[in-house]
Amino acid sequence: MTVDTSIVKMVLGNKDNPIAWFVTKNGVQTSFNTTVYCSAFDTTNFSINY
Amino acid sequence: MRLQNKQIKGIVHWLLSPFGGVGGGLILLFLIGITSCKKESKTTQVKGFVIDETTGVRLAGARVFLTKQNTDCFSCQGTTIAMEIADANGVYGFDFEHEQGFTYRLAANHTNYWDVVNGPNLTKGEKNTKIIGLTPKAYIRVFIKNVNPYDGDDELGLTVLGGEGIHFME
Repeated sequence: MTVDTSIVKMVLGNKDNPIAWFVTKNGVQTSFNTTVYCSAFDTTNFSINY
Repeated sequence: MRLQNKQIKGIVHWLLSPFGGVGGGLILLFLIGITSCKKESKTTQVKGFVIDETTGVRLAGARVFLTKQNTDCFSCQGTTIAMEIADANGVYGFDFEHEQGFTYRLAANHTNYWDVVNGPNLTKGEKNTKIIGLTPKAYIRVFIKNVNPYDGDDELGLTVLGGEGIHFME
């Protein structure tokens, strides 16, 4: 399935928020993770191109 | 007759001595009186202030709740018994009677901050000083794009931890 979308979620402000995702292509699953620092009362953009 | 008087005096002396008889009893009663007269204070006080835990800035207008929960009931929800709005310096305070068998805690909220539901526990009969730290809210927008599609079975699963702890899967 081709996904081309965006989602917005509430997280902890002024903190590193962990993000984890996995991608399955050609039957092979690969996992990724990182942290994204989000400033309080603001929206931080993060892109996943897979 | 003299012997009897000495015996009586001896007995009276022993009774009034600090180590026996009435004397000892009096001392014992005195000690019991001292310890039993120490009245246990039931009034519990809690004072403190509410801050932004990431900056330390005091939060005026934060709502602070005093909740009580049955100590023996592990799954019971706490009920709010008092609420106060923090002043311009983020200061709040409660005085309350601590009922036997209940645990008292604080909860707090503020606009654009995550709620503190199970805040600090309060010690019975003492002047508690509690600083409540609230975490500010923020938002993350995640753009997801399959830039190199392989086939219709391509899949992506996403988990954002912290905050709402959402899970997204396509």
